[in-house]
Amino acid sequence: MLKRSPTFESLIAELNKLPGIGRKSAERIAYHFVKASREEVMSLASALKAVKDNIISCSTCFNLAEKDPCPICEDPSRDAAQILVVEDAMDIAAFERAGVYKGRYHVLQGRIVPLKGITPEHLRIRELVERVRGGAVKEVILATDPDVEGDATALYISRLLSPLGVEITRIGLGIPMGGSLEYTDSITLEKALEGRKRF
Amino acid sequence: MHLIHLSIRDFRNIAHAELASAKGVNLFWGANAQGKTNLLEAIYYLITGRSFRTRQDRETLPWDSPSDTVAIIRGLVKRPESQYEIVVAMNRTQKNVSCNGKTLFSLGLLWGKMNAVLFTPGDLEIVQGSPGARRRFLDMEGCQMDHNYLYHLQRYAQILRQRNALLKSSMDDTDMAESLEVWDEEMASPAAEIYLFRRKFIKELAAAAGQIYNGIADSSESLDLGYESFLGKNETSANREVVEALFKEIMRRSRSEDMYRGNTNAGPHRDDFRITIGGQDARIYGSQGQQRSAMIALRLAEINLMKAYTGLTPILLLDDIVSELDEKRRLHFLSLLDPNLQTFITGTDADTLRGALPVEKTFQICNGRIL
Repeated sequence: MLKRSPTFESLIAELNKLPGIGRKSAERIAYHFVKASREEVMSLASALKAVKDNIISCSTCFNLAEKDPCPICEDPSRDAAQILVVEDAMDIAAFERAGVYKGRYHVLQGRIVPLKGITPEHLRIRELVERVRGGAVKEVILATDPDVEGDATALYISRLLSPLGVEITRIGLGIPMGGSLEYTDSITLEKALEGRKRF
Repeated sequence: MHLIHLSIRDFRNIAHAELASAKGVNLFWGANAQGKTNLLEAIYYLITGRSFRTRQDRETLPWDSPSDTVAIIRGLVKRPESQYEIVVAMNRTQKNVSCNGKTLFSLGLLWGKMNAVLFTPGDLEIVQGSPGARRRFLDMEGCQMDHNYLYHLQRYAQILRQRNALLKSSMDDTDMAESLEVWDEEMASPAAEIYLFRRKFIKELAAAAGQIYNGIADSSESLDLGYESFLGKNETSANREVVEALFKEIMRRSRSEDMYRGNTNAGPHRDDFRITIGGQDARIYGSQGQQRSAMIALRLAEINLMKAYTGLTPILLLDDIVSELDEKRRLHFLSLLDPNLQTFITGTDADTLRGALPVEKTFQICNGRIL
Protein backbone atom coordinates (compact mmCIF):
# COMPACT_ATOMS: atom_id res chain seq x y z
CA MET A 1 0.00 0.00 0.00
CA LEU A 2 2.84 2.32 0.94
CA LYS A 3 4.11 2.17 -2.64
CA ARG A 4 1.03 3.96 -3.93
CA SER A 5 1.57 6.92 -1.62
CA PRO A 6 2.52 10.00 -3.67
CA THR A 7 4.94 11.17 -0.98
CA PHE A 8 6.73 7.86 -1.03
CA GLU A 9 6.72 7.71 -4.84
CA SER A 10 8.23 11.17 -5.19
CA LEU A 11 11.00 10.28 -2.72
CA ILE A 12 11.81 7.21 -4.83
CA ALA A 13 11.81 9.33 -7.97
CA GLU A 14 14.27 11.79 -6.41
CA LEU A 15 16.60 9.05 -5.16
CA ASN A 16 16.46 7.38 -8.56
CA LYS A 17 18.06 10.48 -10.09
CA LEU A 18 21.25 10.00 -8.04
CA PRO A 19 24.32 8.54 -9.73
CA GLY A 20 24.57 4.78 -9.32
CA ILE A 21 21.09 4.45 -7.81
CA GLY A 22 18.66 2.35 -9.80
CA ARG A 23 14.96 1.93 -9.19
CA LYS A 24 15.40 -1.02 -6.81
CA SER A 25 18.04 0.70 -4.67
CA ALA A 26 15.92 3.85 -4.61
CA GLU A 27 12.99 1.84 -3.22
CA ARG A 28 15.20 0.20 -0.63
CA ILE A 29 16.63 3.53 0.55
CA ALA A 30 13.20 5.18 0.62
CA TYR A 31 11.87 2.33 2.71
CA HIS A 32 14.85 2.72 5.03
CA PHE A 33 13.97 6.39 5.59
CA VAL A 34 10.40 5.49 6.43
CA LYS A 35 11.60 3.08 9.08
CA ALA A 36 14.45 5.26 10.39
CA SER A 37 14.08 7.61 13.37
CA ARG A 38 13.14 11.23 12.83
CA GLU A 39 16.58 12.42 14.08
CA GLU A 40 18.44 10.23 11.65
CA VAL A 41 16.48 11.54 8.68
CA MET A 42 16.69 15.15 9.83
CA SER A 43 20.45 14.94 10.26
CA LEU A 44 20.78 13.73 6.65
CA ALA A 45 18.43 16.48 5.48
CA SER A 46 20.48 19.16 7.22
CA ALA A 47 23.73 17.69 5.86
CA LEU A 48 22.27 17.97 2.37
CA LYS A 49 21.16 21.52 3.00
CA ALA A 50 24.58 22.45 4.39
CA VAL A 51 26.24 21.21 1.21
CA LYS A 52 24.25 23.65 -0.87
CA ASP A 53 24.63 26.48 1.66
CA ASN A 54 28.34 26.15 2.37
CA ILE A 55 30.13 24.50 -0.54
CA ILE A 56 31.09 26.76 -3.37
CA SER A 57 33.56 26.46 -6.16
CA CYS A 58 36.77 28.50 -5.85
CA SER A 59 36.68 31.44 -8.24
CA THR A 60 40.33 30.87 -9.19
CA CYS A 61 40.72 27.13 -9.64
CA PHE A 62 37.07 25.90 -9.44
CA ASN A 63 37.90 23.35 -6.80
CA LEU A 64 35.15 22.69 -4.28
CA ALA A 65 35.67 24.67 -1.07
CA GLU A 66 33.88 26.31 1.82
CA LYS A 67 35.51 29.66 1.20
CA ASP A 68 36.82 31.59 -1.75
CA PRO A 69 39.70 31.41 -2.58
CA CYS A 70 40.09 27.76 -1.63
CA PRO A 71 42.78 26.64 0.87
CA ILE A 72 45.05 25.41 -1.93
CA CYS A 73 44.93 28.69 -3.89
CA GLU A 74 45.56 30.57 -0.65
CA ASP A 75 48.44 28.41 0.56
CA PRO A 76 51.68 30.41 -0.05
CA SER A 77 53.76 27.23 0.12
CA ARG A 78 52.16 25.92 -3.07
CA ASP A 79 53.97 26.78 -6.26
CA ALA A 80 51.91 29.26 -8.26
CA ALA A 81 54.09 28.68 -11.34
CA GLN A 82 52.63 25.21 -11.89
CA ILE A 83 49.01 24.45 -12.73
CA LEU A 84 47.69 20.93 -12.90
CA VAL A 85 44.56 20.78 -15.06
CA VAL A 86 41.99 18.13 -14.13
CA GLU A 87 38.46 17.29 -15.26
CA ASP A 88 36.75 17.13 -11.86
CA ALA A 89 37.32 18.19 -8.27
CA MET A 90 37.40 14.48 -7.41
CA ASP A 91 40.68 14.21 -9.34
CA ILE A 92 42.21 16.83 -7.02
CA ALA A 93 41.28 14.66 -4.05
CA ALA A 94 43.24 11.81 -5.63
CA PHE A 95 46.38 13.94 -6.08
CA GLU A 96 46.05 15.42 -2.59
CA ARG A 97 45.72 11.99 -1.02
CA ALA A 98 48.94 11.02 -2.75
CA GLY A 99 50.52 14.24 -1.44
CA VAL A 100 53.04 14.36 -4.26
CA TYR A 101 52.04 17.57 -6.01
CA LYS A 102 53.04 20.95 -4.63
CA GLY A 103 51.64 23.30 -7.27
CA ARG A 104 48.16 24.70 -7.91
CA TYR A 105 45.17 23.17 -9.71
CA HIS A 106 42.57 24.08 -12.27
CA VAL A 107 39.29 22.17 -12.48
CA LEU A 108 37.65 22.16 -15.92
CA GLN A 109 34.35 20.88 -14.51
CA GLY A 110 34.04 18.33 -17.28
CA ARG A 111 35.50 17.48 -20.66
CA ILE A 112 34.63 18.15 -24.27
CA VAL A 113 31.91 15.68 -25.36
CA PRO A 114 30.05 16.88 -28.47
CA LEU A 115 27.73 13.84 -28.24
CA LYS A 116 26.41 15.21 -24.95
CA GLY A 117 26.48 18.78 -26.22
CA ILE A 118 29.46 19.70 -24.04
CA THR A 119 31.62 22.16 -25.94
CA PRO A 120 34.64 24.20 -24.76
CA GLU A 121 32.50 27.09 -23.59
CA HIS A 122 30.77 24.85 -21.06
CA LEU A 123 34.12 24.25 -19.38
CA ARG A 124 36.40 26.51 -17.36
CA ILE A 125 38.85 26.85 -20.21
CA ARG A 126 38.54 30.59 -20.70
CA GLU A 127 39.31 31.06 -17.00
CA LEU A 128 42.41 28.88 -17.36
CA VAL A 129 43.65 31.00 -20.26
CA GLU A 130 43.11 34.13 -18.15
CA ARG A 131 45.11 32.62 -15.29
CA VAL A 132 47.99 31.81 -17.61
CA ARG A 133 47.82 35.31 -19.16
CA GLY A 134 48.18 36.62 -15.62
CA GLY A 135 51.88 35.81 -16.02
CA ALA A 136 52.92 33.91 -12.90
CA VAL A 137 52.40 30.51 -14.51
CA LYS A 138 55.38 28.71 -16.08
CA GLU A 139 54.01 25.22 -16.60
CA VAL A 140 50.57 23.77 -17.29
CA ILE A 141 50.26 20.02 -16.73
CA LEU A 142 47.31 18.49 -18.56
CA ALA A 143 45.92 15.61 -16.50
CA THR A 144 42.64 14.86 -18.25
CA ASP A 145 41.78 11.17 -18.62
CA PRO A 146 43.80 9.31 -21.31
CA ASP A 147 40.82 8.44 -23.50
CA VAL A 148 39.29 9.90 -26.65
CA GLU A 149 37.46 12.81 -25.00
CA GLY A 150 40.16 13.49 -22.42
CA ASP A 151 42.84 13.56 -25.12
CA ALA A 152 40.75 15.90 -27.28
CA THR A 153 40.22 18.24 -24.33
CA ALA A 154 43.96 18.29 -23.58
CA LEU A 155 44.74 18.93 -27.25
CA TYR A 156 42.23 21.79 -27.42
CA ILE A 157 43.72 23.47 -24.35
CA SER A 158 47.29 23.02 -25.55
CA ARG A 159 46.41 24.74 -28.82
CA LEU A 160 44.93 27.70 -26.96
CA LEU A 161 47.85 28.02 -24.55
CA SER A 162 50.78 27.46 -26.86
CA PRO A 163 50.88 31.07 -28.17
CA LEU A 164 51.23 32.27 -24.57
CA GLY A 165 54.74 30.90 -24.22
CA VAL A 166 54.02 28.68 -21.26
CA GLU A 167 55.40 25.16 -20.99
CA ILE A 168 52.64 22.61 -21.63
CA THR A 169 53.05 19.00 -20.51
CA ARG A 170 50.80 15.93 -20.55
CA ILE A 171 50.75 13.63 -17.58
CA GLY A 172 52.76 10.44 -18.22
CA LEU A 173 50.93 7.46 -19.68
CA GLY A 174 52.04 3.87 -19.41
CA ILE A 175 52.54 0.93 -17.13
CA PRO A 176 51.06 1.20 -13.63
CA MET A 177 53.46 0.92 -10.70
CA GLY A 178 53.76 -2.62 -9.45
CA GLY A 179 52.35 -3.76 -12.79
CA SER A 180 53.87 -6.53 -14.80
CA LEU A 181 55.11 -5.93 -18.34
CA GLU A 182 53.95 -9.33 -19.35
CA TYR A 183 50.29 -8.52 -18.60
CA THR A 184 50.33 -5.05 -20.13
CA ASP A 185 48.35 -4.65 -23.34
CA SER A 186 50.24 -3.71 -26.48
CA ILE A 187 48.80 -0.18 -26.80
CA THR A 188 49.81 0.73 -23.25
CA LEU A 189 53.28 -0.67 -23.91
CA GLU A 190 53.53 1.43 -27.05
CA LYS A 191 52.60 4.58 -25.09
CA ALA A 192 55.01 3.67 -22.32
CA LEU A 193 57.80 3.27 -24.84
CA GLU A 194 56.98 6.57 -26.52
CA GLY A 195 57.13 8.30 -23.14
CA ARG A 196 60.42 6.72 -22.04
CA LYS A 197 62.92 8.80 -20.06
CA ARG A 198 66.69 9.03 -19.97
CA PHE A 199 68.06 6.87 -17.19
CA MET B 1 44.10 -25.17 -31.82
CA HIS B 2 40.95 -27.23 -31.33
CA LEU B 3 37.52 -26.98 -29.86
CA ILE B 4 37.30 -30.27 -28.02
CA HIS B 5 33.95 -29.96 -26.32
CA LEU B 6 30.87 -27.86 -26.92
CA SER B 7 27.81 -27.57 -24.72
CA ILE B 8 24.74 -25.47 -25.51
CA ARG B 9 21.62 -24.62 -23.54
CA ASP B 10 18.59 -22.62 -24.68
CA PHE B 11 20.13 -21.23 -27.82
CA ARG B 12 17.92 -20.84 -30.95
CA ASN B 13 16.07 -24.16 -31.38
CA ILE B 14 18.60 -26.05 -29.26
CA ALA B 15 17.26 -26.75 -25.77
CA HIS B 16 20.32 -28.74 -24.83
CA ALA B 17 23.21 -30.22 -26.75
CA GLU B 18 26.60 -31.63 -25.88
CA LEU B 19 29.21 -32.76 -28.31
CA ALA B 20 32.78 -33.96 -28.16
CA SER B 21 34.25 -32.85 -31.44
CA ALA B 22 37.01 -34.49 -33.45
CA LYS B 23 40.30 -32.78 -34.18
CA GLY B 24 39.73 -33.16 -37.89
CA VAL B 25 36.55 -32.81 -39.92
CA ASN B 26 33.20 -32.74 -38.11
CA LEU B 27 30.01 -33.00 -40.14
CA PHE B 28 26.66 -31.64 -38.97
CA TRP B 29 24.20 -33.51 -41.07
CA GLY B 30 20.42 -33.27 -41.27
CA ALA B 31 17.45 -31.94 -43.21
CA ASN B 32 16.90 -28.22 -43.61
CA ALA B 33 15.79 -26.07 -40.65
CA GLN B 34 16.88 -28.61 -38.01
CA GLY B 35 19.56 -26.47 -36.33
CA LYS B 36 22.82 -27.26 -38.15
CA THR B 37 23.73 -23.63 -38.70
CA ASN B 38 22.74 -22.85 -35.11
CA LEU B 39 25.59 -25.08 -33.97
CA LEU B 40 28.06 -23.18 -36.16
CA GLU B 41 26.64 -19.92 -34.87
CA ALA B 42 27.22 -21.11 -31.30
CA ILE B 43 30.86 -21.92 -32.09
CA TYR B 44 31.22 -18.50 -33.73
CA TYR B 45 29.94 -16.91 -30.51
CA LEU B 46 32.77 -18.58 -28.60
CA ILE B 47 35.28 -17.03 -30.97
CA THR B 48 33.95 -13.52 -31.52
CA GLY B 49 31.26 -13.07 -28.86
CA ARG B 50 28.83 -12.28 -31.67
CA SER B 51 26.56 -13.88 -34.19
CA PHE B 52 27.27 -13.91 -37.91
CA ARG B 53 23.55 -13.81 -38.66
CA THR B 54 22.23 -10.97 -36.52
CA ARG B 55 23.41 -7.99 -34.54
CA GLN B 56 20.72 -8.55 -31.92
CA ASP B 57 21.86 -11.14 -29.41
CA ARG B 58 18.32 -11.55 -28.10
CA GLU B 59 17.21 -12.96 -31.45
CA THR B 60 19.31 -16.02 -30.69
CA LEU B 61 17.20 -16.96 -27.66
CA PRO B 62 14.51 -19.56 -28.33
CA TRP B 63 11.55 -17.57 -29.70
CA ASP B 64 8.94 -19.13 -27.40
CA SER B 65 11.06 -19.14 -24.23
CA PRO B 66 10.15 -17.35 -20.99
CA SER B 67 11.60 -13.85 -20.61
CA ASP B 68 14.17 -14.88 -18.02
CA THR B 69 15.79 -17.52 -20.24
CA VAL B 70 19.57 -17.52 -20.33
CA ALA B 71 21.33 -18.98 -23.35
CA ILE B 72 24.62 -20.61 -22.39
CA ILE B 73 27.32 -21.68 -24.82
CA ARG B 74 30.31 -23.39 -23.29
CA GLY B 75 33.41 -24.45 -25.17
CA LEU B 76 36.59 -26.22 -24.14
CA VAL B 77 39.51 -25.11 -26.27
CA LYS B 78 42.86 -26.80 -26.52
CA ARG B 79 45.84 -24.77 -27.62
CA PRO B 80 49.37 -26.14 -27.89
CA GLU B 81 50.38 -24.69 -24.53
CA SER B 82 47.14 -24.64 -22.58
CA GLN B 83 43.52 -25.53 -22.35
CA TYR B 84 40.73 -23.16 -21.45
CA GLU B 85 37.02 -22.85 -21.14
CA ILE B 86 35.06 -20.04 -22.73
CA VAL B 87 31.48 -19.36 -21.70
CA VAL B 88 29.04 -17.01 -23.40
CA ALA B 89 25.85 -16.44 -21.42
CA MET B 90 23.11 -14.08 -22.52
CA ASN B 91 19.56 -13.19 -21.74
CA ARG B 92 17.28 -10.66 -23.44
CA THR B 93 19.24 -7.65 -22.21
CA GLN B 94 22.72 -8.73 -21.21
CA LYS B 95 25.65 -10.81 -22.31
CA ASN B 96 28.52 -12.12 -20.25
CA VAL B 97 31.62 -13.65 -21.76
CA SER B 98 34.12 -15.39 -19.53
CA CYS B 99 37.34 -17.30 -19.90
CA ASN B 100 38.26 -19.84 -17.21
CA GLY B 101 35.62 -18.35 -14.96
CA LYS B 102 36.83 -14.75 -15.24
CA THR B 103 34.52 -12.25 -16.91
CA LEU B 104 36.01 -10.56 -19.97
CA PHE B 105 34.99 -6.93 -19.81
CA SER B 106 35.32 -6.28 -23.51
CA LEU B 107 34.95 -8.52 -26.51
CA GLY B 108 38.42 -7.36 -27.52
CA LEU B 109 39.80 -9.58 -24.76
CA LEU B 110 38.07 -12.59 -26.30
CA TRP B 111 39.29 -11.99 -29.83
CA GLY B 112 42.38 -13.94 -30.68
CA LYS B 113 41.90 -16.61 -28.01
CA MET B 114 40.55 -18.80 -30.75
CA ASN B 115 40.51 -18.01 -34.47
CA ALA B 116 38.11 -19.13 -37.11
CA VAL B 117 37.51 -18.71 -40.79
CA LEU B 118 33.83 -18.83 -41.62
CA PHE B 119 32.34 -19.67 -45.00
CA THR B 120 28.66 -18.81 -45.41
CA PRO B 121 26.41 -18.28 -48.44
CA GLY B 122 26.20 -14.65 -47.25
CA ASP B 123 29.86 -14.21 -48.18
CA LEU B 124 28.81 -13.41 -51.74
CA GLU B 125 27.99 -9.96 -50.37
CA ILE B 126 31.73 -9.36 -50.12
CA VAL B 127 31.98 -9.60 -53.88
CA GLN B 128 28.53 -8.38 -54.91
CA GLY B 129 27.55 -6.02 -52.12
CA SER B 130 28.22 -2.50 -50.93
CA PRO B 131 31.58 -1.15 -49.70
CA GLY B 132 30.24 -1.65 -46.17
CA ALA B 133 30.21 -5.43 -46.65
CA ARG B 134 33.84 -5.39 -47.75
CA ARG B 135 34.87 -3.15 -44.84
CA ARG B 136 33.11 -5.54 -42.42
CA PHE B 137 35.07 -8.41 -43.96
CA LEU B 138 38.38 -6.52 -43.60
CA ASP B 139 37.61 -5.49 -40.06
CA MET B 140 36.38 -8.86 -38.81
CA GLU B 141 39.49 -10.57 -40.15
CA GLY B 142 41.87 -7.79 -39.21
CA CYS B 143 40.68 -7.72 -35.61
CA GLN B 144 41.20 -11.46 -35.22
CA MET B 145 44.72 -11.13 -36.57
CA ASP B 146 45.92 -7.94 -34.95
CA HIS B 147 44.74 -6.61 -31.61
CA ASN B 148 46.08 -3.14 -32.22
CA TYR B 149 43.93 -2.87 -35.33
CA LEU B 150 40.84 -3.41 -33.18
CA TYR B 151 42.01 -0.69 -30.80
CA HIS B 152 42.58 1.82 -33.61
CA LEU B 153 39.20 1.00 -35.20
CA GLN B 154 37.38 1.53 -31.92
CA ARG B 155 39.21 4.74 -31.23
CA TYR B 156 38.54 6.03 -34.73
CA ALA B 157 34.83 5.15 -34.46
CA GLN B 158 34.55 6.95 -31.13
CA ILE B 159 36.21 10.11 -32.41
CA LEU B 160 34.03 9.96 -35.52
CA ARG B 161 30.87 9.87 -33.38
CA GLN B 162 32.04 12.92 -31.43
CA ARG B 163 33.02 14.73 -34.61
CA ASN B 164 29.63 14.07 -36.22
CA ALA B 165 27.83 15.25 -33.10
CA LEU B 166 29.89 18.43 -33.23
CA LEU B 167 29.02 18.94 -36.92
CA LYS B 168 25.31 18.60 -36.14
CA SER B 169 25.48 21.04 -33.21
CA SER B 170 24.47 24.66 -33.53
CA MET B 171 27.90 26.13 -32.88
CA ASP B 172 28.91 29.12 -34.99
CA ASP B 173 31.27 28.47 -37.88
CA THR B 174 34.48 29.89 -36.44
CA ASP B 175 34.16 28.04 -33.14
CA MET B 176 33.27 24.86 -34.97
CA ALA B 177 36.26 25.10 -37.27
CA GLU B 178 38.47 25.55 -34.25
CA SER B 179 37.00 22.51 -32.50
CA LEU B 180 37.18 20.42 -35.68
CA GLU B 181 40.92 21.08 -35.85
CA VAL B 182 41.28 19.29 -32.53
CA TRP B 183 39.20 16.23 -33.46
CA ASP B 184 40.91 15.96 -36.87
CA GLU B 185 44.30 16.06 -35.21
CA GLU B 186 43.24 13.29 -32.83
CA MET B 187 41.68 11.27 -35.61
CA ALA B 188 44.79 11.38 -37.80
CA SER B 189 46.70 8.79 -35.79
CA PRO B 190 44.08 5.98 -35.80
CA ALA B 191 43.18 6.85 -39.42
CA ALA B 192 46.81 6.35 -40.46
CA GLU B 193 47.08 3.10 -38.50
CA ILE B 194 43.91 1.77 -40.13
CA TYR B 195 45.17 2.79 -43.56
CA LEU B 196 48.56 1.13 -43.07
CA PHE B 197 47.03 -2.10 -41.80
CA ARG B 198 44.46 -2.33 -44.60
CA ARG B 199 47.04 -1.50 -47.24
CA LYS B 200 49.37 -4.28 -46.11
CA PHE B 201 46.54 -6.74 -45.47
CA ILE B 202 44.88 -6.25 -48.86
CA LYS B 203 48.20 -6.67 -50.61
CA GLU B 204 48.88 -9.95 -48.82
CA LEU B 205 45.32 -11.12 -49.32
CA ALA B 206 45.58 -10.37 -53.04
CA ALA B 207 48.78 -12.37 -53.41
CA ALA B 208 47.34 -15.40 -51.61
CA ALA B 209 43.87 -15.25 -53.18
CA GLY B 210 45.24 -14.73 -56.68
CA GLN B 211 47.10 -18.01 -56.59
CA ILE B 212 44.16 -19.94 -55.16
CA TYR B 213 41.74 -18.45 -57.69
CA ASN B 214 43.60 -19.85 -60.65
CA GLY B 215 43.26 -23.30 -59.13
CA ILE B 216 39.51 -23.12 -58.52
CA ALA B 217 38.37 -21.23 -61.55
CA ASP B 218 40.66 -23.15 -63.84
CA SER B 219 41.11 -20.16 -66.06
CA SER B 220 44.11 -18.06 -66.84
CA GLU B 221 42.39 -14.83 -65.81
CA SER B 222 43.90 -13.43 -62.68
CA LEU B 223 42.18 -12.24 -59.53
CA ASP B 224 43.47 -9.06 -57.97
CA LEU B 225 42.49 -6.68 -55.19
CA GLY B 226 42.99 -2.93 -55.12
CA TYR B 227 42.66 -0.81 -52.01
CA GLU B 228 40.45 2.22 -52.59
CA SER B 229 41.28 4.25 -49.54
CA PHE B 230 40.42 7.73 -48.41
CA LEU B 231 43.74 8.75 -49.94
CA GLY B 232 42.48 7.82 -53.40
CA LYS B 233 42.85 4.81 -55.65
CA ASN B 234 46.53 5.17 -56.28
CA GLU B 235 48.97 3.86 -53.82
CA THR B 236 50.66 6.39 -51.64
CA SER B 237 53.25 6.45 -48.96
CA ALA B 238 53.56 3.82 -46.27
CA ASN B 239 55.04 6.37 -43.92
CA ARG B 240 52.89 7.08 -40.89
CA GLU B 241 53.65 10.80 -40.64
CA VAL B 242 53.00 11.33 -44.35
CA VAL B 243 49.64 9.54 -44.13
CA GLU B 244 48.64 11.55 -41.05
CA ALA B 245 49.49 14.79 -42.85
CA LEU B 246 47.53 13.71 -45.94
CA PHE B 247 44.56 12.75 -43.78
CA LYS B 248 44.53 16.15 -42.09
CA GLU B 249 44.79 17.84 -45.47
CA ILE B 250 41.78 15.84 -46.74
CA MET B 251 39.78 16.72 -43.64
CA ARG B 252 40.58 20.41 -44.13
CA ARG B 253 39.49 20.26 -47.76
CA SER B 254 36.17 18.57 -46.97
CA ARG B 255 35.49 20.67 -43.91
CA SER B 256 33.03 23.09 -45.48
CA GLU B 257 31.08 20.23 -47.04
CA ASP B 258 31.15 18.36 -43.72
CA MET B 259 29.76 21.42 -41.96
CA TYR B 260 27.08 21.85 -44.61
CA ARG B 261 25.99 18.21 -44.46
CA GLY B 262 26.49 17.73 -40.72
CA ASN B 263 28.45 14.56 -41.37
CA THR B 264 32.00 13.39 -41.97
CA ASN B 265 32.38 12.66 -45.68
CA ALA B 266 35.93 11.41 -45.95
CA GLY B 267 38.02 8.94 -44.00
CA PRO B 268 38.66 5.22 -43.46
CA HIS B 269 34.96 4.71 -42.67
CA ARG B 270 34.37 5.15 -46.41
CA ASP B 271 37.16 2.83 -47.58
CA ASP B 272 36.59 0.03 -50.06
CA PHE B 273 38.58 -2.46 -52.04
CA ARG B 274 38.04 -3.43 -55.65
CA ILE B 275 38.00 -7.07 -56.69
CA THR B 276 39.04 -7.52 -60.29
CA ILE B 277 39.10 -10.61 -62.47
CA GLY B 278 41.14 -10.27 -65.61
CA GLY B 279 41.37 -6.56 -64.88
CA GLN B 280 37.58 -6.06 -64.78
CA ASP B 281 35.53 -5.19 -61.73
CA ALA B 282 34.11 -8.51 -60.50
CA ARG B 283 31.17 -6.82 -58.77
CA ILE B 284 29.87 -5.44 -62.06
CA TYR B 285 31.22 -7.69 -64.79
CA GLY B 286 31.88 -10.99 -62.99
CA SER B 287 29.71 -14.00 -63.83
CA GLN B 288 27.97 -15.87 -60.99
CA GLY B 289 30.63 -18.57 -61.21
CA GLN B 290 33.50 -16.08 -61.15
CA GLN B 291 32.02 -14.24 -58.18
CA ARG B 292 31.61 -17.48 -56.22
CA SER B 293 35.15 -18.56 -57.04
CA ALA B 294 36.47 -15.16 -55.99
CA MET B 295 34.63 -15.35 -52.70
CA ILE B 296 36.03 -18.79 -51.94
CA ALA B 297 39.53 -17.72 -52.94
CA LEU B 298 39.30 -14.82 -50.47
CA ARG B 299 38.25 -17.09 -47.63
CA LEU B 300 40.89 -19.69 -48.39
CA ALA B 301 43.51 -16.95 -48.57
CA GLU B 302 42.33 -15.79 -45.18
CA ILE B 303 43.26 -19.19 -43.70
CA ASN B 304 46.86 -18.73 -44.86
CA LEU B 305 47.02 -15.18 -43.55
CA MET B 306 45.51 -16.16 -40.22
CA LYS B 307 48.24 -18.75 -39.77
CA ALA B 308 50.94 -16.27 -40.75
CA TYR B 309 49.69 -13.47 -38.47
CA THR B 310 48.82 -15.43 -35.36
CA GLY B 311 51.01 -18.53 -35.62
CA LEU B 312 47.92 -20.62 -34.88
CA THR B 313 45.85 -22.74 -37.17
CA PRO B 314 42.28 -21.47 -37.34
CA ILE B 315 39.12 -23.53 -37.06
CA LEU B 316 37.07 -23.73 -40.25
CA LEU B 317 33.33 -23.21 -40.12
CA LEU B 318 31.57 -24.05 -43.38
CA ASP B 319 27.89 -23.27 -43.51
CA ASP B 320 26.13 -24.92 -46.41
CA ILE B 321 28.80 -23.57 -48.67
CA VAL B 322 28.97 -26.45 -51.10
CA SER B 323 25.35 -26.05 -52.09
CA GLU B 324 26.39 -22.77 -53.71
CA LEU B 325 28.78 -24.49 -56.08
CA ASP B 326 28.32 -26.78 -59.01
CA GLU B 327 29.55 -30.35 -58.76
CA LYS B 328 32.96 -29.73 -60.29
CA ARG B 329 33.77 -26.60 -58.28
CA ARG B 330 32.49 -28.28 -55.13
CA LEU B 331 34.84 -31.23 -55.37
CA HIS B 332 37.73 -29.01 -56.26
CA PHE B 333 36.99 -26.67 -53.37
CA LEU B 334 36.75 -29.50 -50.86
CA SER B 335 40.03 -30.93 -52.12
CA LEU B 336 41.70 -27.59 -51.34
CA LEU B 337 40.82 -27.75 -47.65
CA ASP B 338 43.58 -28.85 -45.34
CA PRO B 339 42.17 -31.92 -43.50
CA ASN B 340 44.54 -31.19 -40.62
CA LEU B 341 42.54 -28.11 -39.70
CA GLN B 342 39.66 -28.65 -37.36
CA THR B 343 36.57 -28.21 -39.52
CA PHE B 344 32.87 -27.98 -38.82
CA ILE B 345 30.79 -28.35 -41.93
CA THR B 346 27.01 -28.48 -42.39
CA GLY B 347 25.23 -30.32 -45.17
CA THR B 348 22.10 -32.14 -46.17
CA ASP B 349 23.91 -34.66 -48.29
CA ALA B 350 26.21 -36.64 -46.03
CA ASP B 351 27.41 -39.10 -48.68
CA THR B 352 28.82 -36.51 -51.07
CA LEU B 353 30.65 -34.75 -48.27
CA ARG B 354 31.99 -37.98 -46.84
CA GLY B 355 33.19 -38.89 -50.30
CA ALA B 356 35.11 -35.67 -50.71
CA LEU B 357 36.40 -35.03 -47.19
CA PRO B 358 37.97 -37.29 -44.55
CA VAL B 359 35.03 -36.83 -42.16
CA GLU B 360 36.03 -38.02 -38.71
CA LYS B 361 32.78 -37.57 -36.84
CA THR B 362 29.23 -37.13 -38.08
CA PHE B 363 26.56 -35.57 -35.90
CA GLN B 364 23.01 -36.00 -37.10
CA ILE B 365 20.89 -33.00 -36.21
CA CYS B 366 17.14 -33.31 -35.92
CA ASN B 367 14.78 -30.73 -34.47
CA GLY B 368 17.44 -29.00 -32.41
CA ARG B 369 18.86 -32.21 -31.02
CA ILE B 370 21.98 -34.20 -31.74
CA LEU B 371 20.90 -37.77 -32.34
